[in-house]
Amino acid sequence: MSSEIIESVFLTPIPSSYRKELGKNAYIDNIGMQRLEWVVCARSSSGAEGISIANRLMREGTVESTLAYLKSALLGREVEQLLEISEGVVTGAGPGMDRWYRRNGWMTILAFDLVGKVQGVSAIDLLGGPKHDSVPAYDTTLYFQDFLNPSRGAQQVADEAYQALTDGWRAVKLKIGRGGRWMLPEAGMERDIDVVLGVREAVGSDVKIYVDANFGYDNQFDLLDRFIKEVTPADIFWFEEMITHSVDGYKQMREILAKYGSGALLTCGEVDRDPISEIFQDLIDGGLIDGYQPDIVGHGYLGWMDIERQLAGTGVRTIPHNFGNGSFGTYASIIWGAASETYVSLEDERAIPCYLTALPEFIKGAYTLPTGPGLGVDIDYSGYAPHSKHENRITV
Amino acid sequence: MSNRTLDSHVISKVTVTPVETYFGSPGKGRIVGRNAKSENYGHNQREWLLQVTTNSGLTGLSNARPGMNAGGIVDLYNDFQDLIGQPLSAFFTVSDGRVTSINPRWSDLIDRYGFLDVALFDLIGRALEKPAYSLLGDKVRSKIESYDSTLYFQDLVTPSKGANAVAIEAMEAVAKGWRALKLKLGRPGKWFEPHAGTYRDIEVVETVRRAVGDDIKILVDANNGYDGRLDLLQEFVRGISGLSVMWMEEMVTENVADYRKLRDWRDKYTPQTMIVDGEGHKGRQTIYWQLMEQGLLDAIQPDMLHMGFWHYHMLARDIEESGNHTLIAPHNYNAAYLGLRADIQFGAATTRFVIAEDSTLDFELYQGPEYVFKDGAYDVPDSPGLAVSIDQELYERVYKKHETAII
Repeated sequence: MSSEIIESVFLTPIPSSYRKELGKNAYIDNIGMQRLEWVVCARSSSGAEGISIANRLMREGTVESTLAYLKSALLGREVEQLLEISEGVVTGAGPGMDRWYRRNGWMTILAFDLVGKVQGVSAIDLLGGPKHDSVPAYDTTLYFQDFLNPSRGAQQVADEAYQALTDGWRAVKLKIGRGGRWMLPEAGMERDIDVVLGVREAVGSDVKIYVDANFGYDNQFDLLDRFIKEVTPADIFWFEEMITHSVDGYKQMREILAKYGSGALLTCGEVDRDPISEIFQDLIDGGLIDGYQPDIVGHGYLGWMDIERQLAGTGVRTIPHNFGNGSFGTYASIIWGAASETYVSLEDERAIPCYLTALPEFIKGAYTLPTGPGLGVDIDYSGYAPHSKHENRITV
Repeated sequence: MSNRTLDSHVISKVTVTPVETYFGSPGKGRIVGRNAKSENYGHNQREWLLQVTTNSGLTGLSNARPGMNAGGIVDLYNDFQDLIGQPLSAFFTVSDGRVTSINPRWSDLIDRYGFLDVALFDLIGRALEKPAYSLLGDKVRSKIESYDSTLYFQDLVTPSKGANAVAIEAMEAVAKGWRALKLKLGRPGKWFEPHAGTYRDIEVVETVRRAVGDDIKILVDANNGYDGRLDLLQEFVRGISGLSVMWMEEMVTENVADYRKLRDWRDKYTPQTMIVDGEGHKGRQTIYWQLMEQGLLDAIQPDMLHMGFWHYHMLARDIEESGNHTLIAPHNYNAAYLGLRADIQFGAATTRFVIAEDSTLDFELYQGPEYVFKDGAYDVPDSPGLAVSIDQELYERVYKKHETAII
């Protein structure tokens, strides 16, 4: 491995499509049917390829600035420099790499993939080995679908949840918080309740239901209280981002859950760009949240290894956010989910893969573990070909 | 006289309702892609239908989307409470069938929510049995040309087709009747390597021109995608020489020095092409006046629904009085059906009006049969107000579930 260097890197925008249109959440207008994955692929001198997506860098940057970044960070670098490894397990960033990974955790996923492929080992093993036989996933595409089909109202969400069940999912997440922006608060809360109860009726008692308000109940504790009261009989598995993170607010939520006998988890943290930042540390230390959710690709494997170390002994579980990471995010999440002791469930936006080799098998709502080296996935160059017109390649 | 007639019509109800439609059909429509700075626009668009109803049974329509984009339904609910109980005479002075001034009591609200005055003009027109345009002035044209404004970076939506992806959709627009098309450019800004983006921008204009022929107007809009790259902007302007581009819009963020260079290159390479800008502001900001005064801006483009009829009319008057030659081409992309009808009414009475921005959407909810679209232009109706009604049965059955009412 000592002679392996990264000889070329390409950055290519590839549209990934959903199977249906995704509507609004509590504060963002329609998500739509298609997102772009900014695929980064680094090829070493032996032809091994490490893959990731640079969506976060492209959000603020440009192709020109991202290429400059990739050139400095990766091009010509020895593969063995990417990660620090001890007894087959990654312990940290390779020499000099920390500065490149700090704000670009997605690059660490590429590093795990490339190092794994060069060494012929799975990224799961590089993370310490599998802790589970499979990785459960939830359908996260149940947005405000009632706004797309107003005549059907809450029933539209119930129908789509049932479709997810038919497609094999055993857990679904419902976007709620309609009173945050698009409806008057009380009317929004009532629709939220109708949606949750309608979905429970549609999918039966064996399917897990998570709800995510994207802070849509901010400053509406009376309505939040009523919402939790009404949906507790529907056996909600977790309540996510019901309000903006604050110690007082989460104390109140704990009290509301206790009042109605709900055993649901409280989760949040996807907005934490510098985990674990002070307010979330306070929530963790105070026993006020049960799951923590920074983005899997945004923070990458090294970032999440660090987060998991800090969460050890707190009882707070790892539930990385994954929405917006397209088809690549599913692969990246499976690896992390397999290796994380306290992992709960993979956020699956069910993007249609078009440029990667096949996903691991999906059985009874969970992905089996990949068996190949690295992430266990490669570029499928026949699927990639239509997108190669927009490839930006830099070489040594 | 007019105001006395309006006294008897008192606002009794205001509703706001989301109405969704598609560039095509639900689930199958085409996706409108990126521009120079934003992610995919998507395959649908929505109006937030504003209905202002009087105790006399009249209803004025507008699209409250600018208000929803800026905030939420609660803001509109709170801010429009004061409208209830107001007679139609409260908002403007109307004399001999013309709106002649705005009541200062309401100028702040109407300035903040320009779209509100579209509904008020609709109501006043209905109450006086006059078309909305006639409240501003005499009809100066009976047809309003419009351009298809949905040709974004379609090459990134279907990468395998490259520039042809735009040309294919341009031809579809022509087949549907449009005679003017706007192409989104500015690929160097974010999504492409700058030189490759410039090359693709030129290629798109060339390919579309070749596909649609010489009789179709081509407009281009870079959403400031050439900021900081005047070298590439010059290359682009040189590249479109001979392609008969009607206007170049937002090639760079407006500033006098860059616009002088742009004008020089325009004069050298494509002298018939207009330079247009100004969608983000209401037109009276210093930079636009500076550009106008220095002959660097051929048309200004504040948004129709942000401005509303009255403020836009005042801007047109200010330009007239200043002696500048700048024309008016309202931005209207998010305005969908009702915003386009407002644009048509405004254009009917505004000499400086150039062409209407058309997001090409059809809503089954609205009925405006007098707006006949033929050969790339809409007829201007002479029925009262905006000359649009809604299908009540459909509204009750589909949309009313999401209605927010202020009574």
